[in-house]
Amino acid sequence: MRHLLLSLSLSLALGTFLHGQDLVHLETFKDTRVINTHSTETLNKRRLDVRIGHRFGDIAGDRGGFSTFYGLESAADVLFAFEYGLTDQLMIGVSRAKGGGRLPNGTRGLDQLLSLTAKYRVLTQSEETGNPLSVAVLGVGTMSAAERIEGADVLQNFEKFAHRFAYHGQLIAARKFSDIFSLQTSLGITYRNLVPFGDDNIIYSVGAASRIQLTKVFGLILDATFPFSEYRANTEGFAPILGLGLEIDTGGHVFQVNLTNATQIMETDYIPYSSSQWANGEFRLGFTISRLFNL
Amino acid sequence: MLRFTFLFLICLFMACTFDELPMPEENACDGVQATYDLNIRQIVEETCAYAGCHPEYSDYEGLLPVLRYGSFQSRVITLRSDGNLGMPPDYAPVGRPTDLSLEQLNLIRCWLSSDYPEN
Repeated sequence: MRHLLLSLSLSLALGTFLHGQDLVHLETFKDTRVINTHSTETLNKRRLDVRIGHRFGDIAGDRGGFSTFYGLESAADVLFAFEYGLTDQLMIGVSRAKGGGRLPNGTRGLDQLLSLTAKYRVLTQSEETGNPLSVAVLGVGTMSAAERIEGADVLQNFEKFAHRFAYHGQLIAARKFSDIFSLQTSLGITYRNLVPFGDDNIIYSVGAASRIQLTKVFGLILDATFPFSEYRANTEGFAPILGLGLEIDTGGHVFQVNLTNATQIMETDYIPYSSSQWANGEFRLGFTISRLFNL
Repeated sequence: MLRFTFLFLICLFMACTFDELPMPEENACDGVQATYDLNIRQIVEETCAYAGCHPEYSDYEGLLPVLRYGSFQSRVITLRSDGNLGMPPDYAPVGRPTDLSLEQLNLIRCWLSSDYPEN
């Protein structure tokens, strides 16, 4: 899998070399997220983005099927976020997500997540500046607001206040090859102050994402995240995080419908705790509504 | 802006620890005698088998299906940190417990690990 990602990175670099800087464009992706992962896009200065994200339950498998109406009667995760462009390159955001992903052995991660997000676009691909790529740096800090419960075997014991926190940092590089095709790769590091027994506090991840413009309004989006750590290499049941979606740009807002095996939305949650398998029908319908306001 | 970003980063990373939950105890049930009649019935009646919750679990026969299926263990032990799915839930009626005590949890764990004897 790492070879595949390496190939993607190389093709990104090769494509850059072959195409030179003959393309002028404004948006590598239509939104600040692809499906699960952030894109290199940031909000323009003084733009407020009100976001609502939702992930339903498993479509099939043991917890899906007709008994849950193919997952539509369950809510795996729900996100409410307010994000704002401080400059054309720097955006910040606050959000609340249900959280609560699970390890393959059933151990539950942090839930009731309050998060602060900051993303800075270091480089913007354009003919004018001569930059062949867009590059962004993302930082996420998450705090669980859950009630403390007794028991040394659960993360929610919160023996120290710091145990409520988890962090994620990511370097993202993307290129728009043409009006219809964009490609992105990323490197991420996720850090949890407290982890279940045997798990790793630090998890590295690599990601890839793409957008294919189908019509003026519709775009096909794909993303993949591959977490790796010693615990994940030696434990069965973890799964790479894959997403496939349709993006509809109506001008005022972007509406996205997707299918993904990630049960959670925040990086500090879905990267450490993804164990749902596409092959077992453990993928779900999700959507994101993003409404932009000029302030 | 730089000052704000710097302060934000300091606040975030001052809260860093490198902790791990302890290894689960292997001999936690040594010397613990747990049977439905002796101690589990009372826990279930107080926290679960009341009107509006799960009155069908008010006797051993009523509990057997969820014990055999594994959902009792799942909802009471594995999912107990989930306020909605874990039992008893956070939305339990006023006056009813929303969490089990550590002593109750240990009794249930030991009872389940010895194949939930009735007496």
